[in-house]
Amino acid sequence: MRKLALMVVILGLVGLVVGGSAQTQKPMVTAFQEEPDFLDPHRTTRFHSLVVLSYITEPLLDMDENFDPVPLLVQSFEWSEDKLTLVFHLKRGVLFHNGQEMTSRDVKASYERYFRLSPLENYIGPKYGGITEIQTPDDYTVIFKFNNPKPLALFHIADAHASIMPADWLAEMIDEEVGVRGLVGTGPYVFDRWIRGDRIVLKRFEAYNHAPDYMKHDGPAYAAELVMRIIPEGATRLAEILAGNIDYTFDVPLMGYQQIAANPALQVKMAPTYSVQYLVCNMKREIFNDRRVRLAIAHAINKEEVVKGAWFGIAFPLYGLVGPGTTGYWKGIEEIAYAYDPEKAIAYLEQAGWTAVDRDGVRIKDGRRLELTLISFSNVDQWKAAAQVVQTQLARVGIKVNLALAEVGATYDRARAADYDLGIFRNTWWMGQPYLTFLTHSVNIGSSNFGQWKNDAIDTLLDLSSNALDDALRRDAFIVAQALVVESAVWVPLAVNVNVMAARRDVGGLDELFSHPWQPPLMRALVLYKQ
Amino acid sequence: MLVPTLIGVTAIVFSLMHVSGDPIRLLFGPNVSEEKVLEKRAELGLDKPIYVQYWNWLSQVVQGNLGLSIHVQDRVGRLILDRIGPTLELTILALILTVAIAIPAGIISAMRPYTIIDNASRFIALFWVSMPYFWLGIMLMMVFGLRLRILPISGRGGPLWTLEGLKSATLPILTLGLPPIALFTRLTRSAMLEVVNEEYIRTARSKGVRETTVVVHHGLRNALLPVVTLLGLRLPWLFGGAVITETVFAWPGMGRLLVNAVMERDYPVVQGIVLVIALLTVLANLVVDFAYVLIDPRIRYG
Repeated sequence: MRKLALMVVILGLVGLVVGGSAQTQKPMVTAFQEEPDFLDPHRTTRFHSLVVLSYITEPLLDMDENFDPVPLLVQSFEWSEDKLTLVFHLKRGVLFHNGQEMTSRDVKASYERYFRLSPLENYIGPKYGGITEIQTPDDYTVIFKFNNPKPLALFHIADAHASIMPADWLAEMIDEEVGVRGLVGTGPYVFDRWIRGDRIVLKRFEAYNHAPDYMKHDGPAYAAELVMRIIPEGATRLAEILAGNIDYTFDVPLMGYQQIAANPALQVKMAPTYSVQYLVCNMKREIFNDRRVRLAIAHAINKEEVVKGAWFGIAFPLYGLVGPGTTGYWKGIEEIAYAYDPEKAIAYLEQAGWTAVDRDGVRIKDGRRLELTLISFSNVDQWKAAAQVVQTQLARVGIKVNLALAEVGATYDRARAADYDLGIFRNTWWMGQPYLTFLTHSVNIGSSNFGQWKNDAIDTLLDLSSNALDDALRRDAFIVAQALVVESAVWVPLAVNVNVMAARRDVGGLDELFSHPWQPPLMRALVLYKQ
Repeated sequence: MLVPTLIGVTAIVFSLMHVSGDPIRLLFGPNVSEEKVLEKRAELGLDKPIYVQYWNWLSQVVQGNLGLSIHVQDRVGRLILDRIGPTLELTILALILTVAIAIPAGIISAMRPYTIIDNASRFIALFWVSMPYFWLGIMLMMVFGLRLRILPISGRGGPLWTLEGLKSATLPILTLGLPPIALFTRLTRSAMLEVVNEEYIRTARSKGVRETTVVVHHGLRNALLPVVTLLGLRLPWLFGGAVITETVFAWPGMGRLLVNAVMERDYPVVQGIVLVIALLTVLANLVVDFAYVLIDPRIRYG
């Protein structure tokens, strides 16, 4: 009898240990709407590629919940007084998936490849006065020599695009095969296989133990295997989530949000993301030279209505072009943004001479109807719906909007040719700078500045916010730049997307994950577990 | 005719693909400088006139090289090879399903015209044909995948000869195979109705030949010619249906690859798939031509 009792106690203890541990041999299944193009950190610019490869490869630094760069593959780092030398002391014993230890040689080879191949190396690259020399005095020290001071360099070094891969492995591979045939990094998961159009399978890297300090768990990851299924169709993804076949996903179809939220077997979490949608006036069109017309449009837009009408209420109104999930976000922008006020909009139009109204309710000036063409993307329901809501809102103040919706390629063609009056666009970037530069700096007219507008003050402030060595000056310049962009009414921010995560009830770690403003993929890999 | 057909089809598609959209801009997104875009365009030869690009592509193809995908940076041949199997699985099995149901249904309808059986068979066939692939797929998924939970909702569980593979292929095959049943049933029925009134059928019956032999050997064999012709012509339609079915069921086939490639203006991939589909269509029609000989020995090709 005593033996039996003892066995029960032992079995109970074993059960406690096993049950208490979050480590599991079961695969964790997640779903993606879009398939990565390829998983080469140095070459891809795709969001979904970056998410997936962030489970496998890592940059030297990471960004914590306060948007501060923190060590990931390095023990510490220091700048020289003149900000032209940056010294990294690498962590010792960090292993690549092929068993090699990461050394300074790997960092040098990775950065050289990054500068050679990345379409994004526009800030710290040698071509732009950034890192012109990489020294490796010993295995664990890397020295970056800059031509010009680059005060935002740490943010770019924390970008997953600048991930470190083994020098020997890179030397063996041809560039096009990296991230297509295989990928080797230091991340918590090892690339196992990719069945194109179906799934990507990753295996836990048992030797992983160097998570950044802001995470409670150093590694290895809890789930032994991670299956990333590619399910492009929203209705199918929804069915898979409701059936409990997906452990967690950030690609929740918005039309099914209510169903998912009401399902007791599922849990839902939300946070603003860094993907923003905005309306823009093409300043090459004469009508917008009159600021009052732009102000009328800005006041005629009801952002809450746009969020409800286009995003089923699952998004947040956006007040500045830099959203709350982006570095450099300034909350004061909410006070500056033009409030929804149709009366004011009408008053501005009348001041601008658009006083008469025809029998269709469209305003007329000098015999010309206030009729504008709005371009946007037809292949995403939310953009289509946002365009329709804006069309309705502007009609209320006497502006007729003709929608010209087309798929992405055709719309971008029109945008770059400046063949539109208004446009609704989206952009995704996690660093406020250079993000605002992409959207509003005059150097990007013809590429990503769809306002097609050169404003010297904005240009100067953006340059300062990028290059000034004084932290306070840089921060202030960025705040003023954000304010000027909104005040110009050339860009009318609409909505910031929400990261909606749906997970089965037995998936844990969600609270810790959502303590970080953008739930980085590395954190998803390390803190989520199956109970 | 094979070579001119393939050149014509690929040349038209190549021109249409260049009407709008820049593959490099779509690859890089809006936040990459114009300089980088121009560099990449030059690297891939996309800065050359369209006829030069087409010629370059054609010269590669005759050497057996379909080129490199702009979007996923993998060999087009390898991409198509990975995806053609799952698509052929769906299309061939869907075609077998269609024929297996439609031909007997058409024969029964023709043998018992204007009876309840005939009306029921026509009604059921029309019921399936009225359903768009997309809607039918979602409905099947909701009923058998989500409600009854007897079949997987989406994805390819494995090769078809495994249980998981077979289960995961069932709903996509039904989605692709059920709607065309109406067309083939109607065609078989009308062809059979024409044939059963022929003198040789009456003669066979009057000689006391068994009814099954009369219907299958004498009737169906002659009625099959238009059905077989339609089968050959339906192949491109089946690929069209596969595009939708593969998207709904997250099936890793060539149809989805084609859709993505079109959206991304990935010319080499689109060209490669169009070439393969055109080849398969031409081959299918060749098979149909040979089938004529088997069905009707009077037909001879010089």
